[in-house]
Amino acid sequence: MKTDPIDVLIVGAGASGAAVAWSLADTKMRIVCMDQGGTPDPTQFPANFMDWEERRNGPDHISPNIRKAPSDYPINDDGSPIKVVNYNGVGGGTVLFAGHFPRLHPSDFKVKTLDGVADDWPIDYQTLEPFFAINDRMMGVSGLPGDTAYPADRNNQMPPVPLGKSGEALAKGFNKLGWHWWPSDVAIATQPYDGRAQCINLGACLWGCAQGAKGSTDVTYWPHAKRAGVELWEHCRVSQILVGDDGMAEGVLYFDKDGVEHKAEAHVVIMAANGVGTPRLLLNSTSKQFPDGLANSSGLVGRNLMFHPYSFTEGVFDYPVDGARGPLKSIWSHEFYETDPDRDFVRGYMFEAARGRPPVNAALAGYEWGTLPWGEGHHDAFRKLNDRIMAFCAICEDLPELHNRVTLDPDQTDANGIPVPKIDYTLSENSKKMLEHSAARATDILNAAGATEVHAGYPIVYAGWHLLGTAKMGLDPETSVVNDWGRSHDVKNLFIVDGSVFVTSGGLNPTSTIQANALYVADQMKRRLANLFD
Amino acid sequence: MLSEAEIETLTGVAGLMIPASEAYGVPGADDSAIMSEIIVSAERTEDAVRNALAAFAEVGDSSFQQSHPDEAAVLQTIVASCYYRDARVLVSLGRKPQPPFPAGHEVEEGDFSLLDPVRARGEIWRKVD
Repeated sequence: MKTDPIDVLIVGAGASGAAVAWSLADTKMRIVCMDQGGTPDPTQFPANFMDWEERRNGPDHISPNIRKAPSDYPINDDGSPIKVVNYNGVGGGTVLFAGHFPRLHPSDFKVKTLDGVADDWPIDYQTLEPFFAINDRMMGVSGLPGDTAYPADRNNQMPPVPLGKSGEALAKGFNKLGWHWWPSDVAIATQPYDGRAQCINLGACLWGCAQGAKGSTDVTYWPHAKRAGVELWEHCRVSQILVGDDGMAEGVLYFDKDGVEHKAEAHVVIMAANGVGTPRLLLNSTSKQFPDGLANSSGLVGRNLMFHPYSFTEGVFDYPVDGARGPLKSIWSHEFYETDPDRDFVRGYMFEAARGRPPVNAALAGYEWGTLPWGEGHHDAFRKLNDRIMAFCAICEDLPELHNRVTLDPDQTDANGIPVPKIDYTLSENSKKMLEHSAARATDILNAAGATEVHAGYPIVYAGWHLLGTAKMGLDPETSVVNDWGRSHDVKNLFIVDGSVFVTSGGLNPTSTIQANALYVADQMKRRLANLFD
Repeated sequence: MLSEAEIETLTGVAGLMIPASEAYGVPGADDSAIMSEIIVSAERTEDAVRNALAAFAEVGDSSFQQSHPDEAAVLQTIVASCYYRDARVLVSLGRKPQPPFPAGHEVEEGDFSLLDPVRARGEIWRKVD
């Protein structure tokens, strides 16, 4: 490792860390990004193995508490009906995401003005629009321009993923009801793109793409960032951000993979460790000047945690559909995205089609639904499920609430002795009504599409993918943690670029917006280099 | 490690759960090759399996699925995970006996003209200004 001073130290090499590192690389500063994990090996992803479905329930589980890889840290989520799922390593959550790539809507930035709830963002859709476009090019987004649910400013790099039998059946169901649908924007290469092979429909997006077609940042941003000179320090687990007597961040303490503690000094620290990891480290960075944790004069670090409660509805059809073949996502619907005064909740949700189930999971569904008996009737019953299940989920907007929060567990530590995050989260009445509504409408759609039976459930327990809101962005230091370009109000050389800064969650997958915001923050930093700390 | 008696019970449960079928030309889950995988899987979650087997021993038949759903789920997960990756079973379902990668799958592109009514309806996004 070099011993020159580090100009910019980024904590976390996932969606936002990769984007901010790549963007800042053109400053020619010395940029180091630390991640507690390594770069994933695609030859070890479950889709390479006959027991791929079983691996998903154990060593490749999406929950760090079940997976227990050396790079993971435990999360005490006993106090939450939704459990955190993540990937700790280069690429972060994008290694395990579905690649679904909607942007927040223009209205999402103005929910206080439009609907009288939560707060408006200090930035708007137009601010991020150029960065959405850059990010789409870097991540490689397949889709079909012209979606009527968005401003007409979106272009896709590649044609949409296949509708398949399932997407087509659902599309017909939507059309019967007169409701919006559109082929999803997905960060999956449907053609060879930027060194990535094209998708071959493995159907295992959520457990790492063995083909390398999915736009996880280990295969999108990182090769470019490293070529541009960014240093990626793998297996370095940051425990604290250090501050000097002047109240400025002066670097971090971290553990290497042998558990040896080191100090790294840096002129600027950027947090990109997600909406749980970032508040965990800020709260663990106490000092004489900052006894309640770093950047926490507002008391809001860790508060306002938003997850996105999901409902999950499945239909069984009397003809074969796709099973699990194909990219997980095919179409989306924004029909119920906005507030409707005729409904008993505010804000809304997006529907996303989710293909079907591979054989093992089809059997487990049959057991759960009570339609797959033991004994003589098993084989006939299984053949009525095999390749005949179509899945559909709704991603509900989660409004910020102070009591939903991340704190430090007073009793439990990780392998390096760092306190683990503790999650306290309850579903609001608004969320419960929205979930109920979404399951009922999903049932309508599946029935319209010809399902012979429908099974709905909510919330999905292992669906804490989207970790948002725990270091809110805003103009007022008393009611926010970072300013409108990601700089901490309290510590002028500390920035946050992950989902922690979200003011509201929207009702859709946030990765596109997280990354666009990270690029926007990097752009602001570059424009202000001469007076970055003023 | 599971005891011989526990493995015997587990084999009995597997055969009861998914018996062989001449009609479909498939082995039961108590087939020796499938059982060897089931045992490896079961030993990863040994305590839960042991509890489930003890509960099954009290019931002794397929009514266990209804009377002890949580314990049944433990055993169903293991048995189904190993049974539905067996090459003979996958072939009987019309699948190739291989993992998803590297062959992948063919998926129909679908009919994008289905979007015509969506386009005809026009923009639905909420304006903010």
